[in-house]
Amino acid sequence: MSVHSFLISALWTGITIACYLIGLGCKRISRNNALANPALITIVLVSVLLITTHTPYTTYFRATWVLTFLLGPATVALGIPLAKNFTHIRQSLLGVGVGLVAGSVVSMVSGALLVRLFHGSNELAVSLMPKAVTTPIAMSVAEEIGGVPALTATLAIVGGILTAITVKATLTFFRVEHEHAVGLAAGTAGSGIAASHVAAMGDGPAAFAAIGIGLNGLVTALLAPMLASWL
Amino acid sequence: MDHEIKIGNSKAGHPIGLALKGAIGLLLLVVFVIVGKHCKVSFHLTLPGPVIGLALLAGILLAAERFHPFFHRQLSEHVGPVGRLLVAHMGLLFVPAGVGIITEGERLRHEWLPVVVAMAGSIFLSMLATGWLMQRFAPKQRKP
Repeated sequence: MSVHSFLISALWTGITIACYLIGLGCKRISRNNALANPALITIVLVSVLLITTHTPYTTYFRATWVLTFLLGPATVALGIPLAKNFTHIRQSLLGVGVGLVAGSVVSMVSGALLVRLFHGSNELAVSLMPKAVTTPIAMSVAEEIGGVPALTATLAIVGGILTAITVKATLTFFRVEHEHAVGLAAGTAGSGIAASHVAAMGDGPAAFAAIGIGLNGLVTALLAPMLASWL
Repeated sequence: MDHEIKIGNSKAGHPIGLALKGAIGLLLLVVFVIVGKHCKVSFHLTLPGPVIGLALLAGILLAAERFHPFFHRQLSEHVGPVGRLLVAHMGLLFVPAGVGIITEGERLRHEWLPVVVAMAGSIFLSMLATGWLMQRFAPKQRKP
């Protein structure tokens, strides 16, 4: 790596981290409002910077390889809370199993079918299919089934925010008040963003939300290639 | 109780030792990514490599907890803190990929309707499916 490309890397990685710190500040100031999502704020700020400085996206993406590289280990690390909450899974195996697989399949199938119904492209349909799972897994699944990872990443974040805002009211309206069910639904439909929102309800919902994130990542990664070839 | 806190503090008091543990933990996580990628290629799996690594790590942690408590403690002490840090700030890590949305402006202008409808619809339906079925089949321990 030449000195020049090292400096470019350090510059853009530093800028990204600085924008992320601004995002974290916004989250704190808004008292954990789901709308003030640090990742989304960072993406918007960096995008504006790239457009105003006429920097090509490929230059930026290559310069920030360190961050992208760490996504792999971060995904593996999701196995830690999954293992820790395993006793919860065993205690309500039927509910978790049925609820999780159903939620995962419904999310993928209804997403793809609705895109088709409103005359969206095939690429959009497969990019939207894995959007319920945690962003890094969603991106790699999208790549696997011929979607656009960047589109999936943004849809996953926006979907997580949407889930965080609506999950409690929606489920209460349909008389789903079991705390573990609300937690699992939040983790399954909205991954980490919705999970951190229901974590405030207590340890039970937090644990089941963590289970929802980890297991839905696995289930979606397993089923998406099959469903994508059928739909 | 007091004694326990003291032990915890003295352990956390060595920044070099802590950094070393974190570095080893990160290295272990990277090894899981590489092993996952190898499994994907050699067994022709459609699962992404890091997801296979996730399943392997969870499996090994569970097996070790059961059969080899010492190994379990060592593994979680090394992988745990750095893993929690990475998961807590995962948002930062997918920014470079997410910024790619600026190359997708054209598509979003043309296809905003299917995007909005499919997002709202699929989130609503999957939330309801999971929540309702979990409540239906879960042990009734807490009923508000």
